[in-house]
Amino acid sequence: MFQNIKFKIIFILVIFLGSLYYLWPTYYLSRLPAEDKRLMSLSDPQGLRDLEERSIKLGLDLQGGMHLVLELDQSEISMAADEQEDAIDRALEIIRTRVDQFGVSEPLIQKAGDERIIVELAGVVDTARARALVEQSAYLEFQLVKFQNEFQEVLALVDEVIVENELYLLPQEEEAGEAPAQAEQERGEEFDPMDLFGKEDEQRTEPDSIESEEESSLDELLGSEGALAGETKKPFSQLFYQQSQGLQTDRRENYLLVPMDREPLVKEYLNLPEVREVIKLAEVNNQVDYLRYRSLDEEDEPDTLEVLWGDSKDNYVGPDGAVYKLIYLLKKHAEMTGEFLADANATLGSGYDPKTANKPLVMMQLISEGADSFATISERYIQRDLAIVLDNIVKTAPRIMSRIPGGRAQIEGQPTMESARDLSIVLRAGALPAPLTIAESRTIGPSLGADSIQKGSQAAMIGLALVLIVMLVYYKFGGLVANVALIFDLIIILAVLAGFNATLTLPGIAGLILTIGMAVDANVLIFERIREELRSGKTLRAAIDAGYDKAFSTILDANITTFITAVVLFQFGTGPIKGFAVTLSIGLATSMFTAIYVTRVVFDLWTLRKGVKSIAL
Amino acid sequence: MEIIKNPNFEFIALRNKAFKISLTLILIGVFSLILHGGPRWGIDFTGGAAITFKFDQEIKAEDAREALQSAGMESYEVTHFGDRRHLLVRLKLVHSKQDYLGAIQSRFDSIFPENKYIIEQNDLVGPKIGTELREKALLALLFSMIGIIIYISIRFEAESFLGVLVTLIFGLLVLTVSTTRAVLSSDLLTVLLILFSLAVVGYICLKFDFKYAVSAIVALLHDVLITIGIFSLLDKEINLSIVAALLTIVGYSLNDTIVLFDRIREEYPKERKRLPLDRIINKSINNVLSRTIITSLTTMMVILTLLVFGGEVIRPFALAIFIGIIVGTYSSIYVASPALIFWHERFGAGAELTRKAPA
Repeated sequence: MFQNIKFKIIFILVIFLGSLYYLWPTYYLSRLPAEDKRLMSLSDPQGLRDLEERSIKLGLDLQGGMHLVLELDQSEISMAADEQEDAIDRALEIIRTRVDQFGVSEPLIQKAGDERIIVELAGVVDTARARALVEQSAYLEFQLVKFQNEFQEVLALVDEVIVENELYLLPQEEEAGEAPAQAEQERGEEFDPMDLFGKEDEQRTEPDSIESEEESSLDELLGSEGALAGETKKPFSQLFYQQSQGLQTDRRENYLLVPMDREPLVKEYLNLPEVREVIKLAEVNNQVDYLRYRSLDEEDEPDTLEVLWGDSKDNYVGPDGAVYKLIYLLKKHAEMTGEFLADANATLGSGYDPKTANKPLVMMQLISEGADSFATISERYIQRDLAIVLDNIVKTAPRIMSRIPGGRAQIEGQPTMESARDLSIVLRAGALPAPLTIAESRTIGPSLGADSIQKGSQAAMIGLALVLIVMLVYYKFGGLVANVALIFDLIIILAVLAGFNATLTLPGIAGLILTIGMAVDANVLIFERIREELRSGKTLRAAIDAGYDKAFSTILDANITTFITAVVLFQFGTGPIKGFAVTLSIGLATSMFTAIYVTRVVFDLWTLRKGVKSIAL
Repeated sequence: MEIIKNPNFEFIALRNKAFKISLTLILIGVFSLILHGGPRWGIDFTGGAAITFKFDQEIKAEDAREALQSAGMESYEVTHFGDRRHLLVRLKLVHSKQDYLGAIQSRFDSIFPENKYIIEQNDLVGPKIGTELREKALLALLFSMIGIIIYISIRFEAESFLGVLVTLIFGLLVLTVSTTRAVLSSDLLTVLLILFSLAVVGYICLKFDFKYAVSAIVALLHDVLITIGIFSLLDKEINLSIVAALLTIVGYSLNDTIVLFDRIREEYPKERKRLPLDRIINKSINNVLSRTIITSLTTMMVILTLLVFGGEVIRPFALAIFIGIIVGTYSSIYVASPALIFWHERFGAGAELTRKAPA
């Protein structure tokens, strides 16, 4: 490419700078202390996601995690094709909902063929939870949604608890949105020694007193600034979108909205035992419900409350494009559970009512034991929202319009047939089991992954150093040029990995190491040829030209055949092996560029100078 | 700096000795395989579970075995993994819903209450997946060999239109096989498909006198067989990553062979009036000798560092490649080249060694 040597140099420089650009996020993240990263995940999750998106991704074998292949269990029952399809759809819905709860970043859940689901969870290594993912039957509940103003009152109570006990999760200036990012980083290390970086919901097991102590010691450290922090009276409720902030929401809705990038922080707050307690026992509502239904409520359990998230499918997109998660305050005690459900189907409304005719809706059929109690519930809660909760995620919260006798209910207001179908799957998931077995599971602990990274990169460094030395000693100036090309090659390979969102695995690191050894082969071939040509009496220029020309087809042949095996490996290999095939193929392609093109330009530059008659090779 | 100035060693004359060495190595491997009742397949291929525990203190494998016995496990195997704090437990599973890990953990917790542990790795492969992975591994080896035959044939001997045609057919074959998994639901079908493909490939090779391709493949099979044999001798298991290593060996060894064949093809028209074929090949081997030495040296060095410093997980993979590089370098000289001479003398009577002019 390019005849003029100036253009060639510019071309190489562009590739070099481009590679550095693509490598930058990976480099930045790898230098970021874990504590700063944790704080960033709470204060600027979007920024962190962006960085991670543009970095080299680590395979499950390097970062720790779990790879599962789930299979429809047909050992006891045989299913017709459509039954099988329905069962796998229900299973997919259940798994998706449960994984949603894990709070795993970027989980992979996909259908593979007609009877398998592949799940990949980075950071989750608890096999017992994987079994729960599969073996627990889905839990569907119908729970009463509290009014929005009640929810606001609860938020205020939570604010109070946080301020009183100083349970702040971020340095307060940051939380108030005033602190420059720098202040956060400087202080991050003293702040919170616990690893909260969302792995498990239950991991906050340390007694709360420790947390409080940390807080007070922080106050001491910060001195007057700590006192200033106490002025933030709404550490929790300010994380929610308030009407006053100008977002247009339907006033009739009873959920609240949390901006996507505040979700991790809200989750962490909600996990604090004090916060859970205050929500559970909040006595905000009772006038409304109690006065109206005093007689009916007498036998009920104490009316405790809980906060649950909406389904991520229901995320609200604001006019400015910002995404918000739905969040609900619910009566904890379920009005009804999925076991009373017989079936549910998506259909088009019939009749003449323009609100339902020919509109998608979901027909829900209850078993006879459920029909009576549902009639009572629906009568009691007319004009209230009844949340359909699958495994603790609110799937939807339709409003009860009238008493529903006879055990046949229809859920209207489905925008598309597709969404009606999805909802019917949710309802059936709670009613019918989808028997799954674990066909394959591979779990790697994070410590082993970290160990692999450390040892792999150590081996790569030593191997690289040895190759550089051998090349330099054996080919002198030529070796130096080849070495520069080799390091350039490694930079490009890593940049391509980052740029194409490829995943680096342990075999991938091995592939990289192998590439170091094999990439110099092209230069060895060329240099040996040049030496031969020099021996046969050619001038330096002619020898270099002949050396490159004659070696080229050999290098190409050798690389293409290796490429064939890499393609086959990619086609037939599983996750980690695919990573090996990927780095090997990238290495083959890039080494052609660096070992042939780049070194040639350097040699041309060198020999173009006046008076150069020989070269140390 | 040069290792050898104008090397002129005798390689081809030693081909009978080399043949005996190779045959002996292969036979030892085969013998070991027969003794062990086939390769020692990992759970990737047999199905089962493999768990790696990392204990705080050293632990005796014998004690762990007793613990497993008392946990009611039937078919298990306990070995140290790397050091004496790591324990690798392999299990055959009775059925996939068995909570084997819970059972083992509760035994370990009560028998070694002082010695805490973490689970570093926990793999479970169901029997069905195992069968599928076995098929995939076989197909991968098969298809890479076929792909290589085709590429070498295009570059070294066949007319280009034929090469394109065969490549297309190959591509379609790979595509259909890897997409229509249902076709390959049984081992028998897989074996039949493999035999059929081999028959087709063999016929094409004979018909079109693909001596370069055949010689290269003979060398590759030699490398793979010896590596599997040595693994059997060392009682190391063959799992998915070893299959990947075997394919890598195939790629590397081929790289070496092609460099040599390229040189033979270049020398042949220049020297054929003056020298017999075996002399031309011997000269070519000497011509590329210093390149062979330097490249295998650098590759061997990096693999050796991976073997020593890369950690326990990657070690078997590195070991396989290390063996493969040694055998692969040897086989280009002592297997691929003699095979080329043999084929030419036996089947290629009167024909030119090289039809196509070098590129």
